[in-house]
Amino acid sequence: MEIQQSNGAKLVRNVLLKATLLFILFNAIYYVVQPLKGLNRLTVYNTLVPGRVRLPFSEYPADSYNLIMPDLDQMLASHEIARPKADDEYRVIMIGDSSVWGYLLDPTQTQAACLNRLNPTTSDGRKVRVYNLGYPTLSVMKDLLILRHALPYKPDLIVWSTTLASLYPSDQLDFEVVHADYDEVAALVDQYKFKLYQWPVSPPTWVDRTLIGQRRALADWLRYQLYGLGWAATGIDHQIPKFVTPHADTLQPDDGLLTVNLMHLTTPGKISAEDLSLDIVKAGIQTAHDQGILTLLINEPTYHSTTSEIRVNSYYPKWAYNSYRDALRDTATREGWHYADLWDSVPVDQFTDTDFHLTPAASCTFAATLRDPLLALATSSR
Amino acid sequence: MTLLAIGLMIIAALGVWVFRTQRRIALLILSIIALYALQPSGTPTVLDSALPTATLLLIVGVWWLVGSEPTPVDRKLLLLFVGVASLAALINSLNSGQVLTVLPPIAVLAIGTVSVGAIVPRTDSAVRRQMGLIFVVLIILLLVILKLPALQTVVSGSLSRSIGQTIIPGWQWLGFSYIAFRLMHVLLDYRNQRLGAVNLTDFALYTIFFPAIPAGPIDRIEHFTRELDQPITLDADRIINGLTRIGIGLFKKFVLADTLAYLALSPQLVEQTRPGSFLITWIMVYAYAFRLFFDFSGYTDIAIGIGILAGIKLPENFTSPYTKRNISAFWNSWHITLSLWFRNYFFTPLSRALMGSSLRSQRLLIILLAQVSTMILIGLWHGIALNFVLWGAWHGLGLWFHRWLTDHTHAWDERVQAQPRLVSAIHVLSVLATFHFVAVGWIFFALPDLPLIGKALMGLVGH
Repeated sequence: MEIQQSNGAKLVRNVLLKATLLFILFNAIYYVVQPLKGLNRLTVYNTLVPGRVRLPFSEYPADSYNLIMPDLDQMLASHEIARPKADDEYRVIMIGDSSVWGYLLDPTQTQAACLNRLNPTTSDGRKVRVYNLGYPTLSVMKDLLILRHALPYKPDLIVWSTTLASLYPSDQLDFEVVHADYDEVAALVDQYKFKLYQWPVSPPTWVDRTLIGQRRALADWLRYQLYGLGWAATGIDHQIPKFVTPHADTLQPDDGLLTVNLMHLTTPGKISAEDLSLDIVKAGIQTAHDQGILTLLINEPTYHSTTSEIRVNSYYPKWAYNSYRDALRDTATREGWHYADLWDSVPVDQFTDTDFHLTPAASCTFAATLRDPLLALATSSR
Repeated sequence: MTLLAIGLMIIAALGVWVFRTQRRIALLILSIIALYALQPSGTPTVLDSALPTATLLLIVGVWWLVGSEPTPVDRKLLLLFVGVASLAALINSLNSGQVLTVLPPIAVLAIGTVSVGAIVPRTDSAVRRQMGLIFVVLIILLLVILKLPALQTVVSGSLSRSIGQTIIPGWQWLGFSYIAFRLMHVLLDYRNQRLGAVNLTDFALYTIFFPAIPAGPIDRIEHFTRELDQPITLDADRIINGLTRIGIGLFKKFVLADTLAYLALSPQLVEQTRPGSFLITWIMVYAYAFRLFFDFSGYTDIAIGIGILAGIKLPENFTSPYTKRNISAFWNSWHITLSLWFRNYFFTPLSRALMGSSLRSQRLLIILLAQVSTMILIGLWHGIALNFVLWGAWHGLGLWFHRWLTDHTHAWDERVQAQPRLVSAIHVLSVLATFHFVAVGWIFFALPDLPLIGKALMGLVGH
């Protein structure tokens, strides 16, 4: 046996050379065209399979036929909100964190789903249809991005649930969904001069705009479309353990604030409006208002210990939470926002794994409490 | 197999050409390394090295029984085997710390297998042929342990107690389904006096040729040794052919099959699917059918491509099976090497035996018995469970029905042949009918229990 080395070496050299050239050429074309932007407006949802009833998020993709798909265009395009709006529909969107999204709840148990089951109707006869646009991240910057991307879908009312932990200027940006929309965030920061302690964050590099840099995002786009069949077949988009243990009532006896980064308090021992990212909330409410859309701001239910003298829950010491509520209420009054402080509207035994996640029963009970304020606003906005 | 493993195999296949005069030995050493390196491992246990070592011991044992008179090269090779097995056990002991406890049973197995050949004189072929049958039974027993979960649990428990290390049931023996069938083919041919002389190098290489370890194909030894003897060169055509075949295989496996996996039938998906999902159930069935084909044939393409690079043409295992116009043609083009194995060593002997029995006059019954039992055994080869029995029976009955139909439609078929348009239409319909028969059959294959199978079948009709 002989090795025809000269031919073999020449062939390998040519193959490698051509492969390298094609690789560079393909990435260069990809860099210029940026096909992912267009691709993210395409989806099988709402056409081949039903739209998602909540935004894509999953820690266990294979078990929940779902995944983290941080591109907002795709998130919204795949959501049922992308369906045409009926003439007699009064469209309400709910934005907020994992409590609105419905962590440890199935899609029929979320606040939006419970509200829809109540069949609310406005005084002029329009059917209220509530859309769940919550997303499991504690960041009002993320809420603002979702709100802006939801506006083309013609909402009539926005219900924006928030909590103190969503308003830390130190913890607004370090999330996939925010990173994925760097350009828009940069434009917003430039326009509104938000106080964001993490800004500026690193912009995407040129590699991030190539096929190599976006290979994960492309694969996720494809996987998300493929999971459409599982979603259509099962109606499952979230893996819920068989047994959800009730919320524990054991709190550490300290008065520290649970946050990833340090807060910078203007007045020690007290949270003031200036210490919070209310400028982002204001921008969101103003953006909606400019399009004739009302916003109902809600301080969402949170676990509140009945035994601790120092803490409300594992996230908040009492000094911080009480002063936050005062600051939010005062700001809402000053700015003329529609605001409801519902922090203690859910009994303490109706929370699950965190201080914000509700049981199925509590989710619907809380949704029922939203019905009247929501319809009142709907009447006032006619 | 991971992409990394495939990449390393490609490099190894090309690297072999550097050792042109010692190509066989180089291939064998690579194959032994692959045997150990590819052995699946969750929690490190003694099995990680013991199972590949047991494969080597079986090879030596079977060869000692059926092979030609040992040459000095063979004896050196035996030393290599012992060295590799010892090294693997030593490396494994660093992980598990249990090497000493597993050595005695391996030693017993080694002594037992080698002594089978040593004790029985080479001239006494009748006794050796009987011993060959014992080897076949032993290999079948190992397969049963491997494929019957209940028995594997018992064996795992016994192993755990005897070596003082937890062996969790569910362990796998890399490529043993294929290795076992290669060994049994040799043993049965030896028993039937159809096996030519073979040295240890060629025999071992045939059994564990590295591209064919994880997913076949199951070559025949005479074909394999002929390939080894071919005077070939590594030229541009060979490289292009090999890499093209590997590229096709990679695309089938990692793009098509892995994508279809998201849509394909699975126990979880079927269990969670809401009633009345008629269209979705069919999509799941189609996706599974093509996923399985692209996955398996993709692996085969990769193995054949690496084989081409290494200078050995492995047999084809798939030839467009979903385009066949009847179930018999399908089985001549799906997992061909396994089908041929069963045809040669089970179906034909059984049919002959039945023809010589009192059932001789009942030809259709003989065909039914032979085909159903053959297909059930093919099902059991995939795993010893009821769903594989049902899958095998489904195909066995399908083959029998096709045979019956063919026998009863000769006259009609002749009339049809005179009308070309009708022939084309019937061809298309036959392909579609065959594909759907196979696709629905995959429900039995994919789903492990009867309620799920029932749910999926009902889903196909909209319930």
